[in-house]
Amino acid sequence: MAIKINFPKREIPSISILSLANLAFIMVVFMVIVVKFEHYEKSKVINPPKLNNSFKIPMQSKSSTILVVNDNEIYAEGFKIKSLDDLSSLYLTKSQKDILVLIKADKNVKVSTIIEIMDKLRQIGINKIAFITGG
Amino acid sequence: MKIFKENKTIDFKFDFVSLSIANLSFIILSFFALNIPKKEKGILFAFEKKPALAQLPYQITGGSARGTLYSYEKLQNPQQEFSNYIIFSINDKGEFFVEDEPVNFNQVVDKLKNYFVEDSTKSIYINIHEDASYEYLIKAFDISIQLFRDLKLQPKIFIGVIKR
Repeated sequence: MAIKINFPKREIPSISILSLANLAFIMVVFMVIVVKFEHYEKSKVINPPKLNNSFKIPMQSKSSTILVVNDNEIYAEGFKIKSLDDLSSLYLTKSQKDILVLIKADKNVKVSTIIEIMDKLRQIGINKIAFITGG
Repeated sequence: MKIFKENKTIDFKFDFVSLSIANLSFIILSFFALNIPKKEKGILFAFEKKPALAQLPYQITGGSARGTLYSYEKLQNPQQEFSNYIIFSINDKGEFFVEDEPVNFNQVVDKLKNYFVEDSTKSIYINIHEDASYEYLIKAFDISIQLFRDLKLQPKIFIGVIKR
């Protein structure tokens, strides 16, 4: 006579990939921070001039920053600009023309560089330009 | 007698329900936090698409800095297009001049004020050398804005660039 033993039903082993998804999200967040940080690092080497009578620039949803590290090193939207004509390809689309362009330049940059950038932006059709100052 | 009969494959399952609210909130907040625009200080130039005056390229309407920015390539004959202004010049060495007279940086505001006491409708024409550093352009702005603030006047600032 066979003895019937009721073994407790064993659960099917499973590994939840929930933590994997969380990890992936956190990695994405981290990557975004790193990219932003790199952008910040570039802006950190810029020492903008101080303005005592500065104003808070009203931020809008569409804005872009041009970093002018020196007369030969200009960054726009995170890309290094080889010539000012590159600004055209960056901002020429119709949607980009309503953008507020913030120019953050080092205090030792020549005035001609700044004016050339402003003139180029004006040629493209950008009407809102701001100087970011240290003050 | 088979005691262990079950399938030994491991089931990977994605349980949406158990995705904790805290985790989700953290991720959403992180994205929001990253996209919050940083409040910057400076000078805003809002150019009008159609200039108020036909011969002037564009208007500045940011903060108190209201005036006209002169286009780089149109600086050859500035005198022809402006009148009733005080020339405030800065050379490539960063030396200041008011109406061609050398002025110490600390005395610029007082010197300019004298002109505005005589005629408050005047505007300031910042004439800066192209090789001067950007710092001096901002200093010139600072002085001009300060002057208009002190006198409670509507600022009118023009910029010109002296080419080599």
